Amino acid sequence: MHKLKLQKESFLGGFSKTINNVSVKEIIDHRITSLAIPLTSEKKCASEFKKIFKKLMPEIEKSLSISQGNVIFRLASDLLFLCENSNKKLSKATFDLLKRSFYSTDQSGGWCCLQVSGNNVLNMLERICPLDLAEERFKTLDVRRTSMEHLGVIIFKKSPKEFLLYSASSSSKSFLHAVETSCKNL
Amino acid sequence: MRNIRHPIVRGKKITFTFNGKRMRGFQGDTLASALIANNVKVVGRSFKYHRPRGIFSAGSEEPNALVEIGRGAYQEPNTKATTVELFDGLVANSQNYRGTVNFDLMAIIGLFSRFLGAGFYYKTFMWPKSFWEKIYEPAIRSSAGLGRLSMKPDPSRYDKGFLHCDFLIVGSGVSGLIAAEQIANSGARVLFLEEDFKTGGRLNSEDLIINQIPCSEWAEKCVTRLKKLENVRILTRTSLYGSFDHGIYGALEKKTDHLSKNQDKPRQILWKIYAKHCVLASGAVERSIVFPNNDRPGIMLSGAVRTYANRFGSSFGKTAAVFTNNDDGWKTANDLSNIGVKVVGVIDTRKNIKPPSDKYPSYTNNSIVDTFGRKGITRIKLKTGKILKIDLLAVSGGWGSNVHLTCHKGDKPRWDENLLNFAPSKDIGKQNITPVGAAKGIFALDKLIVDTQKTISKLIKDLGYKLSPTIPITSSKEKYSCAPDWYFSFGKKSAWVDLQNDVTKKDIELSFKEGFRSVEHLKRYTTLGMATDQGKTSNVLGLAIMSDLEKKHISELGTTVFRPPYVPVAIGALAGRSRGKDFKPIRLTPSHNFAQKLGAVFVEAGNWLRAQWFPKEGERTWRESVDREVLQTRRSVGICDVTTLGKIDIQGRDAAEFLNMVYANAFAKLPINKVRYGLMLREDGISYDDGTTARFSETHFVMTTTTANAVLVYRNLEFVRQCLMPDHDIHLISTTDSWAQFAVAGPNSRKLLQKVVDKPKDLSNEKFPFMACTELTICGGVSARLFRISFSGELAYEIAVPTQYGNSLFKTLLVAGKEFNAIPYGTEALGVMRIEKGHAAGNELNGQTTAQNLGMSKLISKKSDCIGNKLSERPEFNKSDIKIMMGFQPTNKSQSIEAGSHLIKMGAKPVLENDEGWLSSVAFSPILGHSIALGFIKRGDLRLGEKVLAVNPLKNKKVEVEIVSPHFIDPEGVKLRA
Repeated sequence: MHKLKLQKESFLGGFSKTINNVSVKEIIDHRITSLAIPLTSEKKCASEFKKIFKKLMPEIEKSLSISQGNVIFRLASDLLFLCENSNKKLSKATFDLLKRSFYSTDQSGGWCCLQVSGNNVLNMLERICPLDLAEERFKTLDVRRTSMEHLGVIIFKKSPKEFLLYSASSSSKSFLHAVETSCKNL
Repeated sequence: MRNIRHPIVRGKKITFTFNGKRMRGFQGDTLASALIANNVKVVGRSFKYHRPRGIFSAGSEEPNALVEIGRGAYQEPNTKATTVELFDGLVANSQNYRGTVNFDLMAIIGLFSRFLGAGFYYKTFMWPKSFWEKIYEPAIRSSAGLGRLSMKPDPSRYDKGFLHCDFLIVGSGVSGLIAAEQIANSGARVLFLEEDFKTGGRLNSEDLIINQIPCSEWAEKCVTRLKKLENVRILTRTSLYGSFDHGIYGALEKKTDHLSKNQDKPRQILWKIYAKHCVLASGAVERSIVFPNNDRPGIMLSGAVRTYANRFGSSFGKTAAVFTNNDDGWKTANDLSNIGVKVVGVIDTRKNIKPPSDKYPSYTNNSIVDTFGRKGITRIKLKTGKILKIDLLAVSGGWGSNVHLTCHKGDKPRWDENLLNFAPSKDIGKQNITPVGAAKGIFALDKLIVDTQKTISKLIKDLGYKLSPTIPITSSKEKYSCAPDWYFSFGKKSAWVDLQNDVTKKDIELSFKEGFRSVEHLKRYTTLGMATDQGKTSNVLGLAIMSDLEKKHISELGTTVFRPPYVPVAIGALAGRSRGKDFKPIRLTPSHNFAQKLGAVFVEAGNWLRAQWFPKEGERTWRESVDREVLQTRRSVGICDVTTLGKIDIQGRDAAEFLNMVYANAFAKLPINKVRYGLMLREDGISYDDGTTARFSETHFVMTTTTANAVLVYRNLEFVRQCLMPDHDIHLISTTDSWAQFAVAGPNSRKLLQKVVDKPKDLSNEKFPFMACTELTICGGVSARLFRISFSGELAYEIAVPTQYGNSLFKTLLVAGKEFNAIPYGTEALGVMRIEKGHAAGNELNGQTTAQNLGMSKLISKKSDCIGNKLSERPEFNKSDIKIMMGFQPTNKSQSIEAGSHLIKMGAKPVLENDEGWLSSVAFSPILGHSIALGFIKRGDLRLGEKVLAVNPLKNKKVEVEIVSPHFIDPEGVKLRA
């Protein structure tokens, strides 16, 4: 056993608060992996993906739930994000299979994830999110890259009144402040 | 005066203060309606001549009744009393006077009004020239103007937001309501805006019938139905202030302005609206008529008089007259008569009309030649010599469509000769705007209803939405015709065109005499149509006078260009929440929390907050701390958070070829587990950025960039990937935030890291030499990356762990390094050490220097092409006398030198012609005990040992410096390879 131990710290200290009917909660201990599709290997990747997850690779700006709390976002034609938010992460064997077809990059430390939900969540988000979040335009399980308060954000609609917001970990305190301000200003 | 039978008096009573006097109003009142009910006639003073002015209109077109609202830092000037919703505790004050509003000392200016025509100031106060800024302008500004700012920071909160809809409907009058219901029934998403706090628009002001019920009641029922629909969102107190390209509109919602206590909520919200289509039901604004002394308190727009009477039950007087050039004025006479006001005459300018009513005396083919009553109208004199005693004069010069929002899109309004109105052109549909109702130029209720239903049905069908059957609506029949009788003047008496800017008919004539023909020039010369009301009630009057002077038809003159905002928007609302610490986001390094505990002093580096130095007890100056950090690092070991350097993961079969393209030096043959320094050039051959790139597999590289250029380099790489090499297999993703990275520098750095890495990793020089890199685990299994690179010139490493472990690793390294007296060091010490070592950084890579200037010309690979390669061969870049980066030190070691100093040959005059270069980076070297610098000087590499002058003209300082090698310490690189 090594004498020295490193402590894993969450970016926002596990923030959790309800403000004006909007629950804001930091998702901690998540694992995010970017999966890039090699040029000219789209079919091969799609086929491998189906073999591994028994489901079709999602379309661009759509997501696929692979297990409770774990989801894959298709952010661009050649880019997927594997977001594991639950304790039950993919096995190393599955990961190795993925790495055989995709270029993978660990992004866990790069993104802070905030779960925002509640009756007022859409009213809160319209203060910072330039996207049209109405169900007919941004359906449940849709995902988009956008910017909020000058920060790049990935927004995922988990259910009509529940969203996950991924923003850069270094500016996560500023982003949380923006979300809190939006809640307070309702 | 208040009509005690009006329903408003059954509502909640409200107390407010005007000019220090407590007054009563009712819920639902505006400040203007309450002031009228309290018989306040003089509300303010005019802009230039300080003439007493009263309430003129009932909406955002108000030119006169501008007041200061609120106290202290909350005070807001130039607020239209006609748009302020009354609330308990409201404090309002008149503005632009000295003394009291009823006895304004500045009114003396009015005596000289005949000499103060348009352009007077600019023509008169010309000499001496220097007096203009210091004496004339301040004096003029203090005597003429609008309200005053509190000169304190605005403590109110503001916010902004984004709204989306299929249809944006602007205005909730009859046409807006019809459009909203029809469109809502099609299933489309509707955003319905009303600038008033009450929906209904002019239906609240009129005594008309729709579907057999009073029109205001009909409006309420419509709104009740709309509120129940999920696809309709109604925002009241919201003004659309601008329409922009691509279906984007700007709106200002007054969220808590009308509340006594705002509970710390934003007072206003600036909405950015994205609409597929806009239905413009913004109605029309009534024009005035120009006649002698037409600005007295008690002279109001005819439609406004009806609004106060019908909606608020308030009226200025008991005896009224109406002066009109159209049918609408007669409605006012009728409504006033109905509430018990004695109408002593309707003066109609038209010849051949039959008075619609004989309930009151009528004077057709007539006009007013003068008015009397300084602080409230008392009498009017007609052209026929008849004198009428009155205390209220309602004036109607006809109606003009609100075309501002269509003009924002570049639409040129067309002149409707029948209704004498500038209406939106037929091309406005191409801009996805459909005007309806009065905004389209239809002023009679029955016609307007039919046309709106027809227009909206076609629109719904054309845009592919479901069209429901149109439900017929019956209404009062209205007649509207207007005569082009907009101005009457007699003798030398002033007749006002623009009340807000005190522009008279004489001013327009003067403008014409002086050669101004364009309406835009007329506006600038006279200020007609400027300021908070944007000439909503006066523009056409000015155009009419101008067209007669020019002997041109008004349609030939056109209008001035209306630009956003349609209504004033507070600067605070435009700034929104982006104030103070919310102005921009801040990025924190992974070790920020622990650095804060250690008492670090932070510095902003772009958006990052970085530890600049870590002061220790007893250290009195930053230099003491920095010197200690440098010395301790060079003697033992120091740790610095370098996470802020850009980190880019590059993967793909063609990643190596890609790096060869973006870096000036070759990377294709970089062995796995090795790092290489790289220099990037711009297309023009100028140095762009530098950093190191590590190779972890055949297809996997990790690039680092400078902190400042991280985003720019990433963007540039994406450009190369997507546009220059689209058929190559290259994938980029930023990992700057993913990895916490620390420089561990100093002779004991290896010993310290050996304690941290998991066995059996051997960090000896043989196993892990200079420029090696590896992926490994530390502290019992945490994955990490280790790079043997050095910015300080010492034996050094950079160690990276997933960001979540960064704070802990920083602490752990300091704990593990206790036996070596390891210390944290900040960006200042980092900077000192890199200057000592002679490493170029941002000051040297400043967008003006080339690889040749940096002494790295040999680095540019000629075996393969790279960005900037060809243009780096330009003769000018390769001349024998180019500036070369060198080291500099003062001849007298006790002297300090300044960054930015220019380098001049000894004995030469310190002038531009003799400028040989500059000092780019300067530091005090605690190792050497004196100032050192990096800089650029002509033929520097051939001038070692030569003395030159470092001249700083800003500080009037000249220091003799010696040209030396840029590598002040360890020029052979023995330490870093140890």
